[in-house]
This record gives sequence, C-alpha cells and structure tokens, in this order.
Amino acid sequence: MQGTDITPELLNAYVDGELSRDEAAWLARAAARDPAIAARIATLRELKAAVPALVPERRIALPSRVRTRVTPGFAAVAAGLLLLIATGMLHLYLQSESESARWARFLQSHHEAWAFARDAKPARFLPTSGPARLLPLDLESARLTFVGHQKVSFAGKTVVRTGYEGTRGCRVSLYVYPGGTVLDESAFSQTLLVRKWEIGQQGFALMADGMAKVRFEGLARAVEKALRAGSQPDPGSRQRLAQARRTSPPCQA
Amino acid sequence: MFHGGDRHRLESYLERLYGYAFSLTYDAHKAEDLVHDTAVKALSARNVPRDEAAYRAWLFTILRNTMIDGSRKSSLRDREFPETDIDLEDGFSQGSETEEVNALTVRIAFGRLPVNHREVLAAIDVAGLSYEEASRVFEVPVGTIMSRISRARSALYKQVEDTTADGKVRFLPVRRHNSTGM
Repeated sequence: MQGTDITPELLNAYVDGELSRDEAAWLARAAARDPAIAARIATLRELKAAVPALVPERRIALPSRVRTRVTPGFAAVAAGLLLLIATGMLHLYLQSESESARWARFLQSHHEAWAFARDAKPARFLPTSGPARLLPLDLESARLTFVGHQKVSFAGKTVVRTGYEGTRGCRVSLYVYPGGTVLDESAFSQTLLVRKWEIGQQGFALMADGMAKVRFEGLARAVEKALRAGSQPDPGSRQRLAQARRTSPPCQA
Repeated sequence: MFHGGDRHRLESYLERLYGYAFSLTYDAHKAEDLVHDTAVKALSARNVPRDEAAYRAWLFTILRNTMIDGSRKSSLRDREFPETDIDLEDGFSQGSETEEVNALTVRIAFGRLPVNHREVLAAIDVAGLSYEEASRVFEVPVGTIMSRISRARSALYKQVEDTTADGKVRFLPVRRHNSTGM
C-alpha cells in the first residue's frame, strides 16, 4: 500500500480493529512517520471512545417467563443435549479464538500508534476501585516515565492505557480492561512482548516492543506484584528493575 | 419456562443491547422496553444461532426490527431527536470537568445526527459489533458498513465542531488538522 491509499474508511477500520495484522502494522508505521495521520487516528479514537459514554448505566433484568416451548421426548432431549454440548464447546472455542484475535489486533495497533497529549491533566476516568486505582505506577527505577492515560473503546468495552517512555527508546503500555475479556497472549505478533493477568474484575496487559525479553519479564512481574499488593513497587522490585535496566541493551522499537 | 443456558447467554448481552437501544431512542424507558421485548422474542425462538457471532447479530437484528416496527406506528424512525429529548443529567457518571464537557458536547452532537448515522455508530461503538456482524444486522455488505461508519464519524465530528462554534460547550481533546475525511 502507498500513502495515497490512506482513506477515511481505512483509518476508521484501523481504529475499529478491523484491519489485518499486516495492514494495521503498515498504517501504524505510516502514522509514526506522519503526525497528520497520527492526529486523525487520535481524533477518531476520541470520537469512538466518547460515543459509549452517551449511555447511562442501568441494570436490566430478564423477564422471568415466556411461553413454553414444545418439549420433545426424553431420549431426543438427551441426544440433542449431548450434541449441543459438543457443538457448543467447539463454537465457544472457535469464537474465543476469533474474539481474542480481534482484541489482539486492536491492542497491538493501539500500542504501536504512540501518541499522548503531554499536557494532559490526571485522568479521572481511571477506575476508582480495584488495583487500577493505583495507576500510574511509579516505574522511575526502571527509568520509565509516565507520559499519559488514554481511554478508548473496543467491542463495547472501555479500555484505559497508561503509557511510559524510557530514555533509550522504550515505549511501554499498560492496558486495563474489564475482567473476562477473551485475550490470548499468543494472538499477538511475536515481535511484541505481552504479559496479561487478571485481578478481581479487572484485566491487565503490559506491552512493549524492542525491549530485552528478560527485562520485560522482570518489569511485568514487578507491575503485577505491585497491583496485586495494592501498593507502588516495593524496594526489592525497584532494585531489580534498576538492575535489569542497567544490564539490558536499549530498546529497538 | 426457558432453558437456563439461554438466559445466561442472553444476559451477557443485555448491557450492549440496552446501549444500542438507548443510543437510538435517547429514552431510558423506551430502551428498556425494547430490550425486554427483544429478550422475550429471543428466549421464545425455536431456532437460535449457536455460533456466538451469529447469535450476537441475531439479537441486535431482533432489537432493530422491534424498534422499526414500533417506529412505524409513531413515525419515530424518520425524525431526528430534538435536544429537548436529551436529559443532560440523569444517570451519568461524573468524570473530570473536561470529560463531562466532552461527553455533553458529543451527546448533543450525536442527538443531532440522522438516524442512519446514529444507528451504525451505536452498532460499532456502543454494541461493539464487528463490521461483519453489523453487516448481518443491517443486511448490507461489509464494505458498506466501512463507508457508513466513516461517514457517520465524519458527520459526528462536524456536529461537534458546530456545537462548539455555538459557544455552548467546549470540546477540548479533538486535535485540529486539515483533512478531508474527518
């Protein structure tokens, strides 16, 4: 594809996570080169994130009864049930895989399109309960500086990214999303380092590209440990983060 | 009575169905009624898609058809929702001042959009449908959904600009730039 191929439809498909992995990567590179494209993507993401906020929270209950279905014989029910379970499990597996791939494409493209409003005030859209209330975590011992929060929406769910930048080209995203979201680390590109975990009702995904794998693994352990403990990284973690940073090469993002 | 598994499956979509319905009606009670009617129809159906994506599209199709049937009676479908229909306070969570202003601006702008734009925005951004699923709901090709969502976001952006130009509200985070598609 060429720069002239970047149509509004393509940009919208990109923010909706509808492009293939190759197309999304190509567009992310184009956005990294051209601030005007990055700005258009950022605006589309802001619009996309703003629309779900139109809906007030409301608990909807299902009706307790509807008309009774025609009940077949017991044997047919048993056979049908077995078939349904087997088919359902297969469909559930296939569907989970598909959902996971969509989420992975979206999060990866969002991570790669790195754009933050540097003068942003502290974001109050962060969850006020659960471990995410701690964000941003202090990762200065790893020489990673907090650069901002972003709220985006995908598949009807709100996702918040906390971004960090290093002094040697490292870019780290920590995503918070509703727990139970189907997301598999293996669905991401192999060039992207990803660790995910859930704590209570919140899911977390840490991402970086170009970082030494050992350093990233240590960073993921420290972040998860801090969030599970409900406190900023402890002195031991800080020491390990600093050590890992000193002994690792610069990021190659 | 209906199968417990059906209920559980449907319950996981209630919030998204309600969001879709509210985005189109801007009326909490009408939206709740639409979701209720959709749930009754879905739970009463004999042929329920097993594939999850097909099931999702099927549910939103039921809701959409239910709304269209109701709208035919009241001519609701062809009118734009006046601002007086928009309750600016009730039921919304509080964020930062900037976020509240933005939410209000987008709400007003969204309410001014024609229903075809609101419909596709609600399907993709509120209901969280994929283009493929939306194409099943609206019975159009995926390429048409691509064009529609692009036009709808462009229209929303223009409405937001018009709203801010009125001096009623500010919309701070939108970065200004020269482009044809926004």
